Amino acid sequence: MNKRVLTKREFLKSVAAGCSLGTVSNFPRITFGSDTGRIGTFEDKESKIIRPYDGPNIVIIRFGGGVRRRESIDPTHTFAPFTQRIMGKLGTTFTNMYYDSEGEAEVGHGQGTLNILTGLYSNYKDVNNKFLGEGYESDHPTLFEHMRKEFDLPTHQTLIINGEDRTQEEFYSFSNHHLFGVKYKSEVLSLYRYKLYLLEKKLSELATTHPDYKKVSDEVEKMRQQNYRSGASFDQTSKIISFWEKWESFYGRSGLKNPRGDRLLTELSSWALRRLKPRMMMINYNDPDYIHWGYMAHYTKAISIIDQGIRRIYEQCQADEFYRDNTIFAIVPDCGRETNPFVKVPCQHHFNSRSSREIFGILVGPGIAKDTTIDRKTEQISVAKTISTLSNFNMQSSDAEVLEESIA
Amino acid sequence: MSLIRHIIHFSIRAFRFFVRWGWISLLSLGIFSLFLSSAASIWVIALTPFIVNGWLVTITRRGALDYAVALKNSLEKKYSKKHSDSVEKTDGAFHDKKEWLHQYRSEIRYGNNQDFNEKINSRSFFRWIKKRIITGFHDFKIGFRNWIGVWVWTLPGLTLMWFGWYAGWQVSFSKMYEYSAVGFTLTMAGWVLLASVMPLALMGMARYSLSGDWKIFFQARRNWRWIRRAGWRNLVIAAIFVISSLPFGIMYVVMYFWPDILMQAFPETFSSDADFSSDQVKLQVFLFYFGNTFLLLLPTWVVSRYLLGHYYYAPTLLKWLRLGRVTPCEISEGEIVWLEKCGFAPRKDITEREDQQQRGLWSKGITPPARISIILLSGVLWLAFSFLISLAQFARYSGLEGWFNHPLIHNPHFYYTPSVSDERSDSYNMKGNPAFQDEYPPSME
Repeated sequence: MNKRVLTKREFLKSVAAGCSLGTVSNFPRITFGSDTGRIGTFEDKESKIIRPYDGPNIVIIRFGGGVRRRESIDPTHTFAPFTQRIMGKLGTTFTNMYYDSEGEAEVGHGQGTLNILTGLYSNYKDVNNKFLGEGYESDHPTLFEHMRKEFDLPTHQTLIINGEDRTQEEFYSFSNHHLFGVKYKSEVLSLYRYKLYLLEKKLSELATTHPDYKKVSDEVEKMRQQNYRSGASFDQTSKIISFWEKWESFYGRSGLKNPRGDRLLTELSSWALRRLKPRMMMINYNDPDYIHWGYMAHYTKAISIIDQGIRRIYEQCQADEFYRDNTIFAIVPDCGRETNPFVKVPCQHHFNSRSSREIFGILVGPGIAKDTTIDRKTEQISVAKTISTLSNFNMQSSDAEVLEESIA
Repeated sequence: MSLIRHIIHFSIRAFRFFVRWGWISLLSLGIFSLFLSSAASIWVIALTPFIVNGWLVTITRRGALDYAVALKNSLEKKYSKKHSDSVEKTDGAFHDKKEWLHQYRSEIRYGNNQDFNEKINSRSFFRWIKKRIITGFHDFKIGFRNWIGVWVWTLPGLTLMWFGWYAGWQVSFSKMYEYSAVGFTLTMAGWVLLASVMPLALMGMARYSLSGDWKIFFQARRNWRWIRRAGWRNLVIAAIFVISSLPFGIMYVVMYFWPDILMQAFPETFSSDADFSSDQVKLQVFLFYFGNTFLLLLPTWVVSRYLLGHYYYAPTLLKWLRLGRVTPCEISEGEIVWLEKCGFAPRKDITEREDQQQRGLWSKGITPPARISIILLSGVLWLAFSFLISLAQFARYSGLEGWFNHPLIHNPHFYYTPSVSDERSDSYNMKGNPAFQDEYPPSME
């Protein structure tokens, strides 16, 4: 697989050369939506040798929607007994992890997710400067981009599983970095992508003269507008198309039969593990964030649902030879929540307070120290750096420390 | 049918009994709890707002009487200029406003109970103490009745808003798309219902303040007639209450930042590494919060309640009386007595004419387009008021207390007991927990 990425300079040179010769026979073969997923790749003589990936599989679980240590890893108050007791015993728990202990980075779900992905703290702005908008674009490459640049991995083996309510999280599949970016993007599985698949399928089945064609076409455009990021591609690879076809045959088109909320993310992850065999996968749970609306039960129940999801994913991996004893689980919240003694619901929001920066991290898998609890202060961004070390590549873009205590 | 009628009658009587005497039970319980060390402070904090509410009722009364006296004063001057040779006073004796207020200060503050006033108007120290205690009891009583009276009108709308909020987010959390309309529909119905009854609640509050008759809250048709007579003033009073809601909304949000603000302003006292749950810190936090919230919100309550009497109610009452278009059933004895004290002769102005109901709904100056504008615009303003209640719940969810007690119209709510300050987000005791030693997979035994 000696393929190389087409740079802008090479592209322009090729076009110029092709034009000057009056022929297109030498024009490089550009493949869109292939299984390699490298948009705009071509084969030439200067191909760089890309190593096959022989490291452990990685499952990153964003224990998201912002959770406090109290309801997650505190043994007395936890609503995630499997995560706290079992995963904690099987690996290393960082009980004093922080979302930027210096307190400079804005606390938020999108920012926290990008911290986990990039191994860097940054203050992000919505791409369209929308009030409370979370359309963040990272200037630094993500773990997935590093993996795909370093190793020969097709997009469908680097997966992000997103919730259905937050289409802005589609943005996290690639950065704006000029050496990485969309060329090394990861694939996204979400209900949004499924809806897009269904609409495009419907559109392809209709003749342009059909009375519904315009309506469906408009719907497709509307859906695409939700992920309006420059350079984003909606061409799903044949593997992903095949994945959705099976999903459709099983759960239908209504959206009423498949699991919903964060249970859907677990289901999508389970299907992906079985059918796509991802080498690196990130599951972005987010339902604990419902506590913004005031009901503590939504928060604790959502934590419990995530805990059950983690159990299912872990047990499935142990039952699958491809993943058994060769998969690292990294469980880390995107951010914490308030601990506010002045209000009835103490953790309703996350306003950059100390408590909203107090998180935790759990690492489980081959090469990870078992039954270990680390109480020293650690940083959220160290998770990415540690994963890169465990995956045998150097994530140079991150200046975080490697969590050495976790490495057996 | 007879049984149903008896049940309805019994329910109404039970409710009346509760409104009439419930305040004594509540206050007795609070006083009794003073003897129990731990519960005492909570009860004092919880019951104090009823006393403040009662005091605010007298503020509304003061606002109405200020207007009446000022009007009387103005009329007298006008009359004197026209008939400078022989000043013939209108009904009742004219008083300088300050003089009048001084004369009736005690009555304005304590109501129409002459015997009560005579008993406590003494300079003896023990009588002074007695006066304060009796005043507290009196304020508690009228505060409690005012709260119940307003609540009867606002409860259905607020209940719908509360349930709509719950149902809506429950549906959203469970992703039950099939029922996605439930929450919003219920909330909207709640907003509309509350917006519809808010004028009734306010007119009830205003009339109760002067009449002292708690049953006046439930005279819906009569109060509604007075609302329509108020004309454009409906619009202004709605705007005043919506604008006054903003400080409450801001306080709701500020409370969320308060711990961080305190920690930054007083790093030694509220160090982020200190034990936030210690009683000393808790007490300081509590006192600091209590004082600031009270000082910030008190002016809003006073101004809004004063204007309710001074701008909304009294001008309407006096205008229609002087026009001779008020029937006996539309005015209470308490209102008449107060107007007489202000120098008016309302009994002469009350008319028995039967066509008042048809003629007396709107003033002549308010044309049909103006009526529609008043109804629509005040409706929009009260809808905004209702919406702000929901918005505050997002900023700081307060449960039932937040839904059913808006401080501007129900009970002034300036207290908070930090009951959860012992909760540490980062608490854990992993090593000490025997459950951590479980085997995996866990045994089914």
